[in-house]
Amino acid sequence: MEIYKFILENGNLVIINSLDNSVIWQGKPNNSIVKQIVELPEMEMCIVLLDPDQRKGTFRNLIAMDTNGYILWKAELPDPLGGDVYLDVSLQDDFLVAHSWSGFKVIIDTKSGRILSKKFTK
Amino acid sequence: MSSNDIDDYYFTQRHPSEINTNARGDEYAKQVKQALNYCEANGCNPDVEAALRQEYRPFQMKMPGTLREQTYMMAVASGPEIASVLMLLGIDILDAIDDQLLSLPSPSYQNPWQGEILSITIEHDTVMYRVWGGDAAQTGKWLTPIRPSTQAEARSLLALPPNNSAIYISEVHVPAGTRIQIGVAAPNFGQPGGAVQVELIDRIPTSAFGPGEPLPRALLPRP
Repeated sequence: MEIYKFILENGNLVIINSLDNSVIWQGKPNNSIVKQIVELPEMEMCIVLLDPDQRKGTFRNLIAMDTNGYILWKAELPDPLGGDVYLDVSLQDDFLVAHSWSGFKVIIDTKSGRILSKKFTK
Repeated sequence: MSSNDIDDYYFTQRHPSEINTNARGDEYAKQVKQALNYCEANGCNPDVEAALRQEYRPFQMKMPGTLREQTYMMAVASGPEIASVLMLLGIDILDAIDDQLLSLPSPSYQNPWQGEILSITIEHDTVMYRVWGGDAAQTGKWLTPIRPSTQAEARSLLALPPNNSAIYISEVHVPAGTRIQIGVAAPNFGQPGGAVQVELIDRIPTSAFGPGEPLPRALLPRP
């Protein structure tokens, strides 16, 4: 049984202890609206996509959070000096896959947030 | 420049304290860029990062600050396609083109442009188009001001990578005040290019990207 649950609720991330349904952490990471989450229960963490429209310019908006609400990493961007941001994220065959504003489809290491591979899609 | 060189240039990190201040020219620019990469990835003192950005700015300028007349001549030299598209968009070349033409580093492995690129600021809300599908997302900074008729035309003239299936097209409402680069797509990915393409320099809201409509595979034969 999974002890921790990550829930997206009205732009907030809510982390719940399933054993007693207590809220461990809730809020907007980096003061940004949460657009999407991907739970990784085996790693007791959650990938959080912050709303790309929240900030102008380069915005490292793909982050990993642990069950206490701490940010573990911010994902590397494929074009960090070009005002880049992530637009979506998904888990495909245990790989974290995301699209960037700069036109890349990237695979990201869930342990570090580093880009493992990238393809230019335009 | 090989893809390894470009990878090295864009993604290698170097602590700002490791910049060799005796380095000159391209080597110095590369080291400053790598230090900026470091700051982006790991965080830096804001003053240091600001100083690095200022230091790097001259290297981003392929062209020095130009007179409007020079800019106009460049626009004309870039070919009739761009000039006519600017007219279609209601942009007066002399009024709209910035005095300084920024030529930002290309984000792809191959130069996506052929000929000169114009950096302009859109004066009026403008509809452009994004071709996407397959690995390519609905939202992104590469657009075209001229709607392609078919998937084949889009793939060919916009020189799309094979992982962009080009099965959808979305209208994109580019708001006034957005800075863009406009030019002709270079041959890439085995495609000839040749269409006018736009790179959004400023990010626009994701809501500006309309729903995807199927792009015809080929034009239907006339009855």
